[in-house]
Amino acid sequence: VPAARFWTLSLVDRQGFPIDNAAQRFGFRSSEVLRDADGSFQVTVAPVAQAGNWLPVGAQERYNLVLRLYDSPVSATAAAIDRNSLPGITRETCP
Amino acid sequence: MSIGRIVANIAAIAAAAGLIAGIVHIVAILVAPIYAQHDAWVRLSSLGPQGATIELPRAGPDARLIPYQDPAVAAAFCRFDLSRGPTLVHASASDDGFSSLSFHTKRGSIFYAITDRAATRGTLDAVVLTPEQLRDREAHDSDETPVRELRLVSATPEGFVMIRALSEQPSLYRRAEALTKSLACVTEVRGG
Repeated sequence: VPAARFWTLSLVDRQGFPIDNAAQRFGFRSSEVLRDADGSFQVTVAPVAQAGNWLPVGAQERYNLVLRLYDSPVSATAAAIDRNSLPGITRETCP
Repeated sequence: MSIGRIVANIAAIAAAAGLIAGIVHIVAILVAPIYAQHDAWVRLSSLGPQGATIELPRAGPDARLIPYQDPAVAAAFCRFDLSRGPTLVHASASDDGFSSLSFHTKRGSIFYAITDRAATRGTLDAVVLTPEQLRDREAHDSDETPVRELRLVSATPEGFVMIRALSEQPSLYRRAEALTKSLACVTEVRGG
């Protein structure tokens, strides 16, 4: 994640609204996400509950993940975001 | 009239119709944002009167007014109208977490923003004014005492100020919400 005082990662439908779920989990904050020993983290987007950081997606097949950086030297006008600093997205198969 | 002539005429009419349709299409796309009934200003205006501090509903599946809100961030806004004088904006700043003020024109674009890092004694203050009001204010500035207020010129007489406060944990959302209520926008009364 690019340098920032705080970040949040949230999941919305294609209209930009959170997807209703029983866990009332719509996103993670940098201050609450579960991390590995090296400080990295992994968030799993899935319709059914997952161990670790689970973002419920309900029945939606298409969704948007929104990463917000608060108080970051990165800005829309001043600097380009380094691709390597952004979280990677990988598609897994259903268990 | 020969067949070739008729075909040429039809082609010319089709080309002209296509050209007119293309122009109308491009113009329609360009003016769409101006006439859009669902821009930020229209949505915010539906929530309450000018000058009042109004909290935005927390982002969730049921809050369908404003898309792409951060569910971790509480937000409130006030709309200003500079036609009756400059607007004094005041807000408390978060003492540990992140909070910010952003200043928007009526079209929604941001013309200034500050975070809690810029706060003095836990508060953020600014004066929003028109270019004419700024000139008037500068004419009244004393030569001896330095100007201590933050003066922000708005390109449109109307606009809005948005306060945002991040909750670092879900249980702290109420506290972030309470902070957003500290926003106050008051039209300055001159001469008193």
